[in-house]
Parts: sequence; structure tokens; C-alpha cells
Amino acid sequence: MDEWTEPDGTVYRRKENGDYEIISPKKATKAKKPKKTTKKE
Amino acid sequence: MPRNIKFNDFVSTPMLKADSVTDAKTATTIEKTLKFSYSFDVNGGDTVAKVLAADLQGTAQKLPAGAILKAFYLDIDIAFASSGSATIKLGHTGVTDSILAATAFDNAALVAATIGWEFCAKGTKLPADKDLLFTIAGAALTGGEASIYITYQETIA
Repeated sequence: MDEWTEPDGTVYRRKENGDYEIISPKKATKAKKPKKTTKKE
Repeated sequence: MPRNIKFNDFVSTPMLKADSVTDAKTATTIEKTLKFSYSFDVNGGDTVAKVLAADLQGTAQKLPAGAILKAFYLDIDIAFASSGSATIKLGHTGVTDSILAATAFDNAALVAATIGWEFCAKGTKLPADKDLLFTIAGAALTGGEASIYITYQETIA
């Protein structure tokens, strides 16, 4: 098994030395910036 | 020396064979234990999931297919150390916390004076041969050495 994803979203990927790299889940819900509204005059 | 001939063939060889306790008869009915080794000097302390071997010479060893994980014990030779808040998890490829969920390196469960046999976190039945994983997260370990005993029951067909 070279790679798998755990229930918390962490990905484990095999490295060349046989150990598994831990890749934290990206924050899926980033706070969206409010859309800029241009005032029409 | 006088002998009582009534005891000749009292217990015959076939009877002895029939009653003998062989591995073939007990393989699936007796729990088994495998020992794995971790050493900071050998394995390092970086934040990865490390595949542990049977000994510090690196003899490869896997938990067998069909094993139902039951209990574990850590025989601490050198206390775990970290300059940060390192956590340790024990599990197998695919499920890194099947044996021990993330636990602080200095938690009572990982300190020699307070350690004991513990049930595995999940009663996992292994679908195939699996590596034992020793996962370090949060911060690196800066020391430690332990033998890890994993007890399991083989599946009975």
C-alpha cells in the first residue's frame, strides 16, 4: 500500500526509505473574501 | 532392575502422537505475540509513520493476514523524549491508529513506570499482511527506545 487517506483527511504516502510521509488535510473551508462591489454613480 | 510388564505399551506411540500438542493443532486457537522494535538512534524521530522491524537490525516483519488485533505492551528501554509536543500512534498500513490513538510522548500510557498491557484501540481484523506503523506527529522525538509487543488471535476457519 503506497498511499491512503484516513477518515480525518490525512494522507499517508510512502517515501523512498519505506516510511510514510504525513500530509495534513487542506483546510477545505477557507473563509471567502466578500466580493468587491463597485458603486455605479 | 525389575520391571512390571503390565506397563509395557501402556501408553503407545500412536496415543502419544494423538495427544501431543503440536503447532498444527494450536496455531489457530492460541493467541500469538510479535515483538517489534523502535529506537531513536536507528529509526530517527522525524514526524512520519515509521515501519517497524522485528529488531534493531532491521529484520522485516509483518502482522499476518487474518490476525485480529487484541492487545499491546510497550517495554520502554529509553524514555521517549521531545523538545515539543510530540504524539505517538501505533497502527498498521491503512489504519495508523488501530492499536494506539495519538498519545503524548510523556503520557502515562507511554512511560515505563505506569505502562501496562492495553487493549488495541480498534478490534481490527487484518485483510492482508500489514506493516506495524509507529507514527510521530506534532513534533519530532529526540530520544527513546522500546520493544512493542502486539498480541493477536488468528482467524479460525
